Amino acid sequence: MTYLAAAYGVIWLALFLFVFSIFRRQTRIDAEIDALEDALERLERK
Amino acid sequence: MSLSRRLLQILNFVALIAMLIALYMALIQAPDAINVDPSIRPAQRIIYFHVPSAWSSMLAFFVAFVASILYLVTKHVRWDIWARSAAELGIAFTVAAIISGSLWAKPAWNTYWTWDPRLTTYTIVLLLYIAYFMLRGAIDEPSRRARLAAVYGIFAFLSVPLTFMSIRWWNTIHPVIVDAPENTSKFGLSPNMLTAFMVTNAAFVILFVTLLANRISLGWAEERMDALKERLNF
Amino acid sequence: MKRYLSVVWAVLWKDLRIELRSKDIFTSMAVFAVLAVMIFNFAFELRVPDKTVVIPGVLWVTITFSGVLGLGRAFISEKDRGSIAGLLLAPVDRSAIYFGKMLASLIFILVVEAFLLPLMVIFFNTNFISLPLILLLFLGTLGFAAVGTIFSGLAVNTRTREILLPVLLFPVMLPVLMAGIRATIGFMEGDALADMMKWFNLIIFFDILYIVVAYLTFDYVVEE
Repeated sequence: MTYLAAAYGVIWLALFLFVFSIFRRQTRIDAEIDALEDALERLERK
Repeated sequence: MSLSRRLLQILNFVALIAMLIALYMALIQAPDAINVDPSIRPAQRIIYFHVPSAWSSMLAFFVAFVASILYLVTKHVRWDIWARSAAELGIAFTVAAIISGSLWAKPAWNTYWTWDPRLTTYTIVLLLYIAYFMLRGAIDEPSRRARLAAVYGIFAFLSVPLTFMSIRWWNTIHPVIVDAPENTSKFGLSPNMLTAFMVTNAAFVILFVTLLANRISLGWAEERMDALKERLNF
Repeated sequence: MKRYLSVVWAVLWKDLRIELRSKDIFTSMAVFAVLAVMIFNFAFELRVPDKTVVIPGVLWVTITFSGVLGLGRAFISEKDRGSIAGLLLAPVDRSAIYFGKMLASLIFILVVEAFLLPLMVIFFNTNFISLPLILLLFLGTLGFAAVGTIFSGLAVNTRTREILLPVLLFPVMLPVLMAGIRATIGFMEGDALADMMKWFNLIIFFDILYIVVAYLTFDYVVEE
């Protein structure tokens, strides 16, 4: 029973970590894209 | 953009439902395996997630392989995104499959690890794709990185079918689950178990497609960010 | 076809002549191989009841490790002197360059093996050399050189260069290595040749696969 719980825990954890890493990178990249676009806009207005 | 994001959200939702159904099938609906020792019957249910994880990883590496070929043929950045997304996903599924397999090996074979050809070759596959990302990490220029990684992605996949076939070619203690009628006596699945097995496999395919779609959309965002940085001479 | 072969030969001969003059690669490979056998001897001497048990492993590991040492240099001189561009200008299919380089690497490793085998016979005091074993070693080395040469071209384009090569190469080589060791164990235990055919077939299958895939992809490795 313990092994069952552990194995399912591990699989869900692995998948969750993957989803979480995608989510975190997406957030970071979205923020960075926004910042870059802002900077670009300012640059072009100058 | 917003349409594809919305589609992605629907897909995410479907995958979540599919995984919950899979969980129900594997833990509640599937009958106990009467052909294994009663003390390890609960642990036997690990296979409902272990096997689909392993298959999803193979599927992921296959997608990475095809995308690598397509990249070399077309030189379109899309296929580089596909290749690296699928390879990353493959690593996640491989880790899940190896560790869950190890946790089933303990009650079934009384050891977490054995130098069985199937386990060894599968672990090597994991190392192959870690090497794939090390190669990517060691090249700065994007087009060269994509090109050389694609070459490696093709070579890396050549030994994946061997891993798949290893349990049929060698004498291993790892059971053959599919297409081995003579083997049903020991680990084969009864019809009810087979239903649950098929449902979890289908759920994992949906999960695989969903995660891949999400990772690819992230890949496009990465490309866009790099392009912006390029324009700003960042 | 004739021109293709002459380019293969020119690249091969160029590499061999450089090596004959400097002996850089061969010396380091051979010295490394001897050192490896020594270290294995120390490691197993007191522990292993029968030395024939460890010979297959020692043999293949020594060849792989010293081989990767030489393979790491396959494209270094071209890269550092920038002469790869000159090579690529040759009006012939670029795979000819690959085959020339591959044959040169193959010859280097085979020479090291020819030096290593008698040495191991002396050190382990067992005459395990036989014609099928030599054929097996040749086939294994062929696959090793085939993949090693193209990966050397990959690694030379990276920041970490030769350091990356073993990490890239060893997992891909595993099928050939595994079959080679299994078959060598079979020879040690005096198994019938027919029983070992599956290992030979596996190595030959992978040799052909590697060479064909390398032939198809080499263009993309050297493309600038």
